[in-house]
Amino acid sequence: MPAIEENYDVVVVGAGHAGCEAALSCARLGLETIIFTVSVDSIAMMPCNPNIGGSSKGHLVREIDALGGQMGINIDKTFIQSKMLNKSKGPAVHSLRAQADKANYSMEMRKTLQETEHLTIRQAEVSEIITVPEEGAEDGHRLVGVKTVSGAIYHCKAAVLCTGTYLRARCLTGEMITYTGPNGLMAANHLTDSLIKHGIEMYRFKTGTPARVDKRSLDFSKMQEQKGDERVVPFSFTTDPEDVQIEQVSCWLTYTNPKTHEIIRANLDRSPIYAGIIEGTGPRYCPSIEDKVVKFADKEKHQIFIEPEGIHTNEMYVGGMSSSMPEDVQYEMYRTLPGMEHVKIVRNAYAIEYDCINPNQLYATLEFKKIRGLFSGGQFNGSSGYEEAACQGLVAGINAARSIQKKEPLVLDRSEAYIGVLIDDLVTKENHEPYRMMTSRAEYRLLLRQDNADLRLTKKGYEIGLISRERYEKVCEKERLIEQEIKRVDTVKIGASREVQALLESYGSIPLNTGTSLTELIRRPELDYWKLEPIDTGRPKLPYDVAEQVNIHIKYEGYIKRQKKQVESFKKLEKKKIPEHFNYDDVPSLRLEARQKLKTYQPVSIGQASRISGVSPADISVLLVYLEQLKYKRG
Amino acid sequence: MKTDTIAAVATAMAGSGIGIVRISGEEAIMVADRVFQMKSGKKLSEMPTHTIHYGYVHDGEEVLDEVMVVLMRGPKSYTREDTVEIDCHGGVYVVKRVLETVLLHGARLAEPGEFTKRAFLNGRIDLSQAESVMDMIQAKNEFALKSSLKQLTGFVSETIREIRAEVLHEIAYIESALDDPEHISLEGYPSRLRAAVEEISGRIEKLLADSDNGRILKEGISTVIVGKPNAGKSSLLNTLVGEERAIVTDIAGTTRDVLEEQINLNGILLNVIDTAGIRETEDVVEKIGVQRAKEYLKDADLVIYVVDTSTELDENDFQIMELLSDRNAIILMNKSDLESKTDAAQIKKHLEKRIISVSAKERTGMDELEAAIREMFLHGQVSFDDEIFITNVRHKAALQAALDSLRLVVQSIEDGMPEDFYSIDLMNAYEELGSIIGEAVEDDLVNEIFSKFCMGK
Repeated sequence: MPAIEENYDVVVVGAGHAGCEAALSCARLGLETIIFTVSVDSIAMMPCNPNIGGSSKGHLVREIDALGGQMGINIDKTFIQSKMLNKSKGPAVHSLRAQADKANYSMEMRKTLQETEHLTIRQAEVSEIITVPEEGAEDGHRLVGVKTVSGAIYHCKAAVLCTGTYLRARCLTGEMITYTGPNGLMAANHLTDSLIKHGIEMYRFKTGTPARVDKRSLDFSKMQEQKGDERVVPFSFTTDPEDVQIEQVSCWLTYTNPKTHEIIRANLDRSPIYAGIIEGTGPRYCPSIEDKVVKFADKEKHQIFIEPEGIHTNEMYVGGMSSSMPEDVQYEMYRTLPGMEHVKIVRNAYAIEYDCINPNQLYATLEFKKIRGLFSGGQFNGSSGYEEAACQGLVAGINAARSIQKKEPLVLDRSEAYIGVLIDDLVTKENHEPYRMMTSRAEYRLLLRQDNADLRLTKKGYEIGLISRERYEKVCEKERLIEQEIKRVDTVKIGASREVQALLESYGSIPLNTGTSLTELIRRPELDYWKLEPIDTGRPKLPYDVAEQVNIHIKYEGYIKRQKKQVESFKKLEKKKIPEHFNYDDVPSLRLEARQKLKTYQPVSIGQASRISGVSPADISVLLVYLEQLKYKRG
Repeated sequence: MKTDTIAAVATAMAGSGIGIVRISGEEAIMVADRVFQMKSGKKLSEMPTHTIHYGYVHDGEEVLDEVMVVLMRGPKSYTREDTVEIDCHGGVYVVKRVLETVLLHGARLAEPGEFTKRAFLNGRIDLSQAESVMDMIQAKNEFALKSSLKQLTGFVSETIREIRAEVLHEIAYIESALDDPEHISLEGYPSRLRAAVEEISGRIEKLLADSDNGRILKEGISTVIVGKPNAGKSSLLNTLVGEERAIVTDIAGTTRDVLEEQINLNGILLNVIDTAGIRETEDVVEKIGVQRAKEYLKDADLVIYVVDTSTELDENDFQIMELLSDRNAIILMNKSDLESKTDAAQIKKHLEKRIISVSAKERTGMDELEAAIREMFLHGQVSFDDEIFITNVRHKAALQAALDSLRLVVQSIEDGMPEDFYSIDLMNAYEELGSIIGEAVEDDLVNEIFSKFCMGK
């Protein structure tokens, strides 16, 4: 039988959170796109925690939304509980987290894919990438297609690999090992070989997930109820806030105890990690319960969150207790928790090992340095988490499309977006474990708030073509209103009238001696923009999100200014570009280690070079001097 | 390619006789024309290259120094750019003034090594030489953790390292609490942080004080001697210098110009400027001197006010005392060998400063003067062995910036700001401190977080 041959602009391999965003962005930009999955039923599956967002991940979702991605819209349609985290802290760390109805989330995303023009869904395992030597580039190749296990060939101009945890995956529960992807789905066992043949360096990572347990076997009276926010804030800037004020379900909090820890310690020799069976590197920040008990031996208890997996399932996720212990030990340890004495496990906890790449082989565009037209995103790039995956899929998809359309790639820097921080970290820093986004990774987080993601990125989304003109103009109008109101507030003089003093007093604020400006009053820690409304008679009626920006701008102006200064000095180094195919062997007196690192990473700017571990400030000076001389010579 | 014009003092800022101010760049000769008056009345820009010229440097109002100027047009100069070198004769203080004047007239201060960098960029140095320049830069940085740290001495770098580690610890604590609010509590943290930051600030203040000591030990205290005419200022200077330098006569107003002398007072360097007696005078020449003295007074680290005890306090004294009220000053009651017409009590009514009785002629009271200066300028215990201090201006500025940032942290705590705001200024402090010892930042942070705290999900 002759093999199938088809032509597409873009091939996306994998239909998880990265693959969906990649495929949607390409198709929406008008490119004929095909997305491959080993199971059409597992599109946008959430194989681990049943929530989207959370500290710093919520930022990613909002940024995805502002750029025209799908994740925010999808979770707004399918969440069953929502919470703004860190509300007692500064606006930079407020973060939205929503519990998802997993089945619904997957279904909604599948519908979106199905309804998108130029997008074809195909269930098949891609086993090879097809390349041709790139003209004019030594050792370089260009992607021209992919091949599936059946031998079918799909010609394309670009491909995005989003294979998640499926490459040569194996799952471990104690002594029991299955060679499958998550949830018993088929692993993809062939693509790795093809990539290695193309000179791509592979890593092996592992991650894990806790058991799912039967809701009816739990005694919630022994746990603390965790309710959602009374007023829910949507993820997507396009969602009408009124549409998300739904009836929510609760999560539950319980704790481990010394008995739990004792059981774990007694059975460590049966844990595949501690028995040395697992070779992959796991995430430190998302440790299994075994890791926590070993590493933090002095902690008497750990928090465990029991979270619903959806409305139409009785499965509950045991958050904080991922494990690769054998199932008898799992039963034993879970049953030590208050409210779980009679727990019934629906699905075992397990660890999963999979192949991924060393992401230093990618440009910040997420294109392979060695293979033009080949992009990748998500766990394949060594990250972890749905949100991290989705934002990479989006960027990889956008850049795959733009490379075909011969347009400038989209690269966000560390001062523009968490997405920029994430990708820069991946492609620039040594990464030996699954990478998770964290607030602390973003140096300029006061500027990269979740509340201003639209102001930061909508314009880019519009220029790319994923944001409508109407939506973009709305953001411009919002910007204008904010600016205007900040100016107006600054001109409002407040006298020491009886009404003013009474208002101040009611908030425990020191009365005025002389007149002051409204701006000054807003800056007082105990006051804010809204509280001062009664004495601000000329105040225009403004939408909440405009007032919110005005308030933040005024209250934290000093900090914002200082942070902007930090950004300025950061940008200086980012702007110093290193020419493409720069030969580091030409630079005398670079240290050997630095020379090798620079050759491997091929940084695009001095700023990026300075972030490579093993490149010292000294090497940077040498490089700077050399580049300047080069520039000078060329006049 | 257009380059700006740079200038710097090319010789060591020490007590050597000649100091060279070097100017390089497209406008070097133009800048020189603005400040340099040739004896011949011609302009330097009209002169042929590689010639030497005699004349004066003036700042637009008055003459600063008598100088020799070397003119070298590019490309036959070290930097391959037009270069002018001004050989000054007036000692450290005057060299500084000449440089300042040059900077006011179109040049900017050169960065360290910038002349060499330009020589290199302009191809003045060939590839092999370039390599050695690179090696120099490389060496400087590669051993930054060793040699330049050695320069800072074990103690200072050790202290900065410690302080930095503590700042990092606080940043890491805040960050991990933000990343994992469910496991790490910030309850009561602000007051703990405040105590830590105040303790750290105290140590930086100590470093800064020591740094002043270091600067003073290295560069000297710029000192102005004032007093009404014939109060004995010049004799005092002579006593200190140990030779007849200033013209000493009994006629009031014979010190026409400002003299500068570097004096080593048992290890403390004084850059002394003796001034014409401050008094209202009709004598034009002397008036220039008086005016300048008032100006010097503004910039001086120390003012020594010489009172002639054999005469009554007069209008001149009152004027001087008025000028000194907010200055670092020591009052010397001179001529204590003669009959006294003015005593300490009278002075004290007008000026609350340390009073020391001396006789320039008899050389008495000098030890007490030295002790007073030492007390005033050298904070705490100062040893004169080879303990080295932070004397590098950039380092000092970084320390100061770190201190300022830490103060902002305390301010934030006082204002009741949420904890995540603290890290902006803590990070600034951390970076500033790091810039002194040449260390990078980010990886430390993340590693620190990982190594110390339990992260949940």
